[in-house]
Amino acid sequence: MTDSAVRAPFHRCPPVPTDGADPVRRQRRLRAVAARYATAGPFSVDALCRVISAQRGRPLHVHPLNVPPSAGLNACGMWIATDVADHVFVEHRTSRFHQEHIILHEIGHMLCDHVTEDLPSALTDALRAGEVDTGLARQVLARTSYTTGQEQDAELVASLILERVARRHARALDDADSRLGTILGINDGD
Amino acid sequence: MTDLIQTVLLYLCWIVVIVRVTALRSRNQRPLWFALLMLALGITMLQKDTNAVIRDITGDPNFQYLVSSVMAVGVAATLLTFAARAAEVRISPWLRWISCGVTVFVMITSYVVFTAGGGQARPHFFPVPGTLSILDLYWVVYLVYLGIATVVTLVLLLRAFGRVRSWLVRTPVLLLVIGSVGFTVFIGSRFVAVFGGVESAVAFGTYVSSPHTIGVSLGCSIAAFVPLLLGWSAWRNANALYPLWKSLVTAVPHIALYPPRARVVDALLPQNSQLRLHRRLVEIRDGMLIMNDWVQPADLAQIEVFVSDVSPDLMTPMTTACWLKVAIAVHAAGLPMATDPLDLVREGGTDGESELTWLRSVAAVWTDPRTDRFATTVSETRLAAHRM
Repeated sequence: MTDSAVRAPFHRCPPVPTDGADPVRRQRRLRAVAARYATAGPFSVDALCRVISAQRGRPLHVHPLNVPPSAGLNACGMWIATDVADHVFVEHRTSRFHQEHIILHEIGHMLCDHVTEDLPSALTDALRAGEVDTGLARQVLARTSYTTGQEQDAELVASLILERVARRHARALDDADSRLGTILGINDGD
Repeated sequence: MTDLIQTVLLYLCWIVVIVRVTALRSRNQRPLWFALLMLALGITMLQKDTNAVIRDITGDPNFQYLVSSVMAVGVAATLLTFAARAAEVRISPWLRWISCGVTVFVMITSYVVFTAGGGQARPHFFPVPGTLSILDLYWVVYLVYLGIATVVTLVLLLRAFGRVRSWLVRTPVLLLVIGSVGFTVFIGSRFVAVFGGVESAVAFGTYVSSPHTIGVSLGCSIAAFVPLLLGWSAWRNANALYPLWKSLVTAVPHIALYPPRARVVDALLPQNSQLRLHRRLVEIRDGMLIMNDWVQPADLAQIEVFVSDVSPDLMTPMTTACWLKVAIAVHAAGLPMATDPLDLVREGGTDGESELTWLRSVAAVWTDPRTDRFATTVSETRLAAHRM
């Protein structure tokens, strides 16, 4: 951590109100976000992390989430934003497919400009032993359930990105096939 | 019979024209859509009812042949444009469109001159054998243009076919190849019918042109069916995962992004199938991660003994299905989490496809009576131990 980051005063922003009153507009907005990042060509979560990092002008680190069940955190993913970097924590005791979805969920929070009000106490306990100083945390969003608008939005963004990738993958088109597939309209919807 | 063929092709073509209307938005896809539109218009012109209406309006029984022939020239030109793009061969737009324009111009001029001069033609607007008139020029220009354009299109399509690997792309190209072969034979039969005076070549031409119409209609429209096929596949997979997924979202409702629906309702609503399938995979995974903490090493050891008798390919999925069922039962009974939880959820895919394969194998044994029997025995042992 840099000195300036260490000295930065701790603050949290109020949650951004979600467009709960207009689910159609909200879905359209999330679909637009997903469409922007589920770009044509080979897709990988690692490459997307690099894109997001470049866009935010700060490194994005992915770490294994190693919180014992007894901590009561009950999260399989988490995003911690400090002054200088974004840290995404992901459950490592699951399949690569699931891990990538969890990473995209946390990236979904970034793409939707989400913020949080309070650090859960279980989380501060769990992080105390970790490498990220809780005092520097600006944003902490853990993937636990989808009862808040922010969690639903992040989950939907992750799902929509991977749904688009899966649709393209189902067509199994390489470069030559993809070019002709575009002319034939087979790639429509990507 | 030929009327029936033409009626079927008429409906097929217009349905496809309407379904594929979105292709107009894409510069790349426009040639195929216009080929379809002109094919549909050309076939419409050949229908008896349309003939009668056009004859009433124009008073000329041969006008329909001019329109359908001009449409055939348009189909050939647009298919040539598509084939050149598909094979990545640059054919000068001047050569393509001026040759097409000149052909159409000569045909219309010949038609007008011939009709205005009161010339007599055979049925189908064929010239009378043994005579020489401007109608011969009409047919020569028309058939030569179609012949050259169709053969070049066929060569380019074969070249494109050799480059692509996916059958999703190969199929429409193959259909267009078949259509072009059929149309080449049709052009030959028309030469014989027009200049050789062989009447049987007309009926033969109708039959051999059918593969052209079918090949072009389906080849140009297969893209419209791809989302339907993919949607059906996703719907089928999502349905196969339903029992496993429903058990987990019932046990831990907070993992569901959308509230679960009854099986029948779920099966009857096919929209957003791909998104639903993805959610199902993720929610099953989320549920497995939570349930993992309710399984004790002793439970797993007991399950492994039970499944040792099943066929080797079922062992791993059945073990997973069993420990999940045990965990759900233990969780529902209100037992505390395992004191030393295992690490059981790593098995799975690196992408959606391999994840689906794995979870489908678990879902396939989820309702197997042996799975139920093993899981019930293990969970009863665990519950009994807890009561003591």
